[in-house]
Amino acid sequence: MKQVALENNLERVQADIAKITSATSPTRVLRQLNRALARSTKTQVAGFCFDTTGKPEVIDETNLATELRDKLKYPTRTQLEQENLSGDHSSWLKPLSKINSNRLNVLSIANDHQLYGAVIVVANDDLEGGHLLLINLLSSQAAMTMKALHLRDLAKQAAAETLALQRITRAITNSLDGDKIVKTLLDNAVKLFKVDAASIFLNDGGTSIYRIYRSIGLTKRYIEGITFDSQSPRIKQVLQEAEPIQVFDMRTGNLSDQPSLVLKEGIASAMFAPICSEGRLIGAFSVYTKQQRHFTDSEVRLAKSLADQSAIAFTNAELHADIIKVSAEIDQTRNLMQDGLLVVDLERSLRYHNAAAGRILGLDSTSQGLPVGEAIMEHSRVAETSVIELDHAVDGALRGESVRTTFSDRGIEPCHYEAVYSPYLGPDGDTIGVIINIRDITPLYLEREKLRTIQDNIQDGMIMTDINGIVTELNDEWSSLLGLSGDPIGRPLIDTLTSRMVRFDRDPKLIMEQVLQGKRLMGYGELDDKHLQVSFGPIIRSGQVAGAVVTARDITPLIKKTVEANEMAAKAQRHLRELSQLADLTAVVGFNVHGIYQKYLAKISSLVESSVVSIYLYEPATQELVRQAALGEKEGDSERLAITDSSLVVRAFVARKRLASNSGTDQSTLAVPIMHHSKTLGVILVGRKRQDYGEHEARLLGLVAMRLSVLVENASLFHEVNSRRERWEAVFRFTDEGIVIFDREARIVGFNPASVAITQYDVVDAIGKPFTRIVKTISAEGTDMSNVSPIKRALQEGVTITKSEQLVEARTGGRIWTEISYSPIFDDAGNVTSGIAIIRNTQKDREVEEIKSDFISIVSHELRTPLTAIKGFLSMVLKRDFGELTDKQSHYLSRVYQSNQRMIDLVEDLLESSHIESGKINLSVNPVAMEGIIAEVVAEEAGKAAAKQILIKVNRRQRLPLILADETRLRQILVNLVDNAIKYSLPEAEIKVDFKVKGDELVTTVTDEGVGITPSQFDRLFTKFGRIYNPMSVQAGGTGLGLYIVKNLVEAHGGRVWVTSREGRGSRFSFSLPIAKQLPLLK
Amino acid sequence: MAKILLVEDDSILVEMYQAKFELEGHEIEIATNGEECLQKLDHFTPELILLDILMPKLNGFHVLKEIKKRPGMRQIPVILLTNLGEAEVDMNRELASALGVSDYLIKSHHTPDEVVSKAVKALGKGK
Repeated sequence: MKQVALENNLERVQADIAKITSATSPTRVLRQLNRALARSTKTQVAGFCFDTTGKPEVIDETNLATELRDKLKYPTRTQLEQENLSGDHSSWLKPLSKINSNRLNVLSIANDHQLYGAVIVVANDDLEGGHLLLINLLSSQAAMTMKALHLRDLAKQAAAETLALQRITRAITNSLDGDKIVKTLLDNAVKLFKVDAASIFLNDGGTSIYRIYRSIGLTKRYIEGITFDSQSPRIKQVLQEAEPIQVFDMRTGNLSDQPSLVLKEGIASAMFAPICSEGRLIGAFSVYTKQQRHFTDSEVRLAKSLADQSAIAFTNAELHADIIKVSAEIDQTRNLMQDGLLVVDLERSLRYHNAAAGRILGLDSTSQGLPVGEAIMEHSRVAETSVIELDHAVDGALRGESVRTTFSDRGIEPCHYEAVYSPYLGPDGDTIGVIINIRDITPLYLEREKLRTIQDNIQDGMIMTDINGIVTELNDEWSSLLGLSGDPIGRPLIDTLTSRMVRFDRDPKLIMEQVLQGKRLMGYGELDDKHLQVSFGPIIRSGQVAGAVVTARDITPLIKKTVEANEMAAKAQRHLRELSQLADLTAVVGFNVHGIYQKYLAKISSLVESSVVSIYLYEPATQELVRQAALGEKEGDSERLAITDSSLVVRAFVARKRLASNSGTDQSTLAVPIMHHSKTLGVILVGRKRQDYGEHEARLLGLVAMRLSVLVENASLFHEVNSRRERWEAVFRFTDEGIVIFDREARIVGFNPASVAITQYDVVDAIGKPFTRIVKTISAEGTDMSNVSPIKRALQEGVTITKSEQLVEARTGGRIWTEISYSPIFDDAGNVTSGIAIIRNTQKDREVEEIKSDFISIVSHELRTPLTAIKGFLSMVLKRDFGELTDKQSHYLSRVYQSNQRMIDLVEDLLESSHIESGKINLSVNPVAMEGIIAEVVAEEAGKAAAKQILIKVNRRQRLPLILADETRLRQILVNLVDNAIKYSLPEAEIKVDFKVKGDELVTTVTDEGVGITPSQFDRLFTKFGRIYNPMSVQAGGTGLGLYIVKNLVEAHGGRVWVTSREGRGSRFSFSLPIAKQLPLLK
Repeated sequence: MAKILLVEDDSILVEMYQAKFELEGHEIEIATNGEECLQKLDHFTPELILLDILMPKLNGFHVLKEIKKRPGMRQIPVILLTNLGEAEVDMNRELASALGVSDYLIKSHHTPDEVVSKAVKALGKGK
């Protein structure tokens, strides 16, 4: 039974072994092992294997009770190895044993000292020997299988690595394209190292910074962000060792300065291999993995080998790129060469020609291999003779000579070529052919032609020498300019210059020496009467001084012109100085004449270069010329010259002309009158020794005198104006009359103290204010009259308006009677610029007048009473009321009566005048018919007229218009005039009363045939007691107040009264009164 | 023949007008001032009053107004006699005519003869 069981068991074990052995992966091996152990030992079994790093990796718990799964903690390789050595149950098993009372048996899976993993057998009891044996057998079988599997994997990997390496190496050795190498390297590296990413760092433009040049599996952010600095100590160390370094944990062993980028990229481990070539760091090769792992030694070696390979590849690629560049440049240069290049072999066959040669000689690809002469002839662009010459030249070159020929082609505009034939030497120094270099020298040829033309046509003399100063070429101009007779060619240039006695401003020998050293110099020479400008220049050939070219130019006319121009400039300079001095004088202004004289003296002295200067002014009062200021000899002496004097000063003044006294060596003097318009103000006298005064200086001084005259005149005007102003200011300040000056807008600009007294406004209050606000005019009733102020009329119409009776209200409320006269002020153009108001305080006059008026009133009243008594009683006596009178009594009493009557009239008129003067005339103006009034007056005066047999004739042809008048006053006016007419008429004369409508006035004229009045008396006629001066009036018995009253009454009506008269023939008194306009209502 | 009251403060003029009016056969009663005039009028009614204006105590216009207030006296013609100037007379002329004055004479302008004829004229009108 046991045997059968054993046999069965053996069969089983064999089957189990077969399963384990045929498993294709460590996981499967483990699973088969577990299954076999679990089944055969009837226990729970777990198993695990280590990964390459020694961690428990492949775990199989399929044969473990569910509640035990995940509770087991598996050891690392190191832990397990220590376990076996110490025999102690290590810490990793303890937690499980506490949970469960089961026995845990750990049995390693090992083979040949290589520990692959372990099985954990969970049993209730100790394992029995058979089971233990079985477990060991199966485990070692599993370990063997695992080893085989591992070896197979290693072989597989090695094959893959070899393949990848082969690929890379092939790429590196076969390709010279750096990019392609890098790409191959990176592609294979990812596979080879089983990493997530790889990159190549390369140096960034010669700095110490290295950036990722190419990569695979990296983000753009990382590529752009990651750099390393070869100067940093860590990298330096790496370089020194020149070995790849690996970083197991990028978070801690980070080589990068940008750890955050590394973290974001998710890189866990990396390896860097420096790429160095001949000790120079080219870059770095790096691989990255997102899983933490160690790179194996073989991987490190591989990385180093790849980096080394890369270094070689990069160097090669670099060199290759250089070679390609250089060869491309050479090719391009050949084809771009302006010069033609031909290569001919020993058989004179054309082996090579470049593009330029083809163009010049008309060669193409078919020309190759032909004898060169034939090849060129075929296209016959050049003359046959040139081809023959070419053959000779090639012969020469083949003999080892260097030959130079020139030829031209047959174009319309021929091109000129220079050909150089040189032997073509092989590597051994043998002549293996001829190289022909053909250069287009057409521009050079043309330049030379041009130069020849210039030499022949140039106005300048030109001569050339070689490096030794020997003349090689010269033009005709040179010969004629220097007057050379022989041929100077072949002789030193210096000889030709010195033989002709050219006077140079410096030594020509020295000049030539310097020129032949490459300097360019300019010289000046004189030959006979010619002025020569000579310029020396080196002839440079191929950067070397090859000779000298000397040109000479005849600059005689130029020199002459320059001399002239210099003279002109000096003259202009002088004029400018004079002008500026005159201008300086313009700046001298002012009214301080003595200060001005001093400045003028100084300026005149320098302007006309005179040591003595005097200014004389004429004094009309003394008829003398008085020296005002002097500089030089007569300084400080106030000389006076009578107008009769014969001195130069007086003569110049009288003649009003500039006079000069030129005495040659002794003192010369010049006297210039100071004229202002037609007025001669004085004389300026200047003097100096040893030089006469010219016309220019006289004119200059005339200008100064003119300027001075203005100042003198201005100063005198200023003083006059000043004194006038002072006088005016005195008037303004001290007059009792208010003076108010106002502008065109009637705003006050001047206000004198008297105005202050009248208005009670201060000057500061008044200035700038409207006139009518300060000088407040009011009517007698107290109403404001500022809006009817005549000030506007005075300003607008430019007339003087006087208000003789104007009440003014002062600031303080007091009222004053004034007379104000408003006058415009005109400028020179007759425009009203401002105005002036004179305010006379008439208050006192008025008060006096009123007292006078009252006095007259009372007096006349008191006078009347006795006069009435005299009149009354006399009239009764004369009427014989009290008995008869003798003739004589009657006569004399009549005289008394008449005298008394005159007295009564006088009193009456006085009373009337006093009324008028006190302004007490109250007119009661109404439309009045003249006809009725004149009839009454004539009737009233009829008695008086009849007494002298005088006829009063009223001429009235048509109906007269109504006039605006006070009836009583009108009657009074007419009575006075008719009365006067009667008085002054001779008996039997005629008095006429005429009417005339004139505009809107009615003019009434009373004409008499009386004694008449002389015009000189007209003015006085209408004044108070005006007739007192008329002897006739005394006889006529007038009071002398009648016409005064008439005038006042007429004017109170707004009319006018006037008189015309012829002495001895009679007078005409006229007055006008306004016509009453017909009111629309009355029509 | 008429009874006339002459009111005049100047004694010479009183004498003058009295002489003339009596010569002409009129009966003259005299008052030398306004007050006296009014007293006289209390028991005497004249046919005409010659009234001066400028008088002591009561002036002519006051008297005139008083007279015009008295019943039965309103019809008595009054001639104002004055020696005021023409201007003053003009000023008062309206007042005078409003008070029903028959005439307003400036004494110095008229002879007593003329005054009598004016009085006669006024008397004629009054009747």
